[in-house]
Amino acid sequence: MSATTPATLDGTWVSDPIHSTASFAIKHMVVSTFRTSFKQMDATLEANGDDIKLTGTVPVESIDIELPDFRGHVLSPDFFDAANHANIEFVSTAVRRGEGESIDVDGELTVKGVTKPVKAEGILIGPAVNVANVEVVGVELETKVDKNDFDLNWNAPLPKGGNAIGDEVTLTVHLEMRRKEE
Amino acid sequence: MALRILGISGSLRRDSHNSALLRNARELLPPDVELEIFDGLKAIPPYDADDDDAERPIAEVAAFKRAIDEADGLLVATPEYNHSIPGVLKNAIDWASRPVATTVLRGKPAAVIGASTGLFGAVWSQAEMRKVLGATGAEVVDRELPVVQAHMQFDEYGNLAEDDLRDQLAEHLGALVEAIRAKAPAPEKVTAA
Repeated sequence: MSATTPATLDGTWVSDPIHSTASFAIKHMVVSTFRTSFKQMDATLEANGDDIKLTGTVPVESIDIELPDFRGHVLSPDFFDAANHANIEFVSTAVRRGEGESIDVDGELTVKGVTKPVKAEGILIGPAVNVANVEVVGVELETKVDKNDFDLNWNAPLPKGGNAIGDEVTLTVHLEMRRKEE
Repeated sequence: MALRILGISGSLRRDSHNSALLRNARELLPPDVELEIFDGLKAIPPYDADDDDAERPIAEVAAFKRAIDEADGLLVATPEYNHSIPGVLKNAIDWASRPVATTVLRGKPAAVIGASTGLFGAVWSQAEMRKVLGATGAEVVDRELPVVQAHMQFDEYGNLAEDDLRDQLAEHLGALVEAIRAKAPAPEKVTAA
């Protein structure tokens, strides 16, 4: 297609693993923020007019933490319990396009086998044709959840007050999506 | 007169982050304050009251007690094992705390720092160390210095890479030096007749 063809979102789009990230941030030691991401994620966007559906799967083992002890704790039953719950899953229940590029997404997030409704806000850009003459769609979404809602209950009181980690976790996805090849 | 601080690393590992922290501390002290790093922790045997006999002192234990006695203050750098201090460190303090009536730790100004590769910088073991030192009669500076993700905090020469952390360590050491200077000069020891 040429760059002058009217772009339509209709169709199925899949995330480009190189240009897509799923990350999270959580307070620790009361004031500091720890951020990391998952190295793998598969996301799919299906659009048919205003009917848009977004799904995603993140293997928890792909978490970007290298240190064996730290990694071992995060993947243990204190947190993700990776041995019994391999993936974080998201399925949208409603996607609303707002002004300009803004979107609101309602969906169900499953972490550690616990499914809860979440609401995310962000933007949807495109489709646009990139320098390699490939149609791409960009999606950026953010939501906040309470980790305890998903049975990630580990915490410990700090000697000088406060808890080791916060309850609120900010989840962020940046997706670059390309048309699924038939 | 120059002040002397004894540095004790609770980690025996050759490339210990806590030992590196002590070496950095040495560079951050005022010019008239020396820091000697004790290197005999591994040689101290497990505490056994049957072996704790003033008539037959164990050389390695005696060396540790003497090093504490000759120091004006202590700086303990502890890693964290299962939210607490390493057994070897507790063991050495247990030896030094005996006999209770004349322990070299009583009244000794002491500060605690700690490094871990996790997110919490040995904050729980530092609290434990302060508690243990306090129980021995040491005068413990009530502040912590958690060095988080310690494997990322030192450059290739073992120096603290971030100015912020270096400043925090300097401030921490300042509090220890202040505690030492606040103490009146130790009176001459009176030997019982």
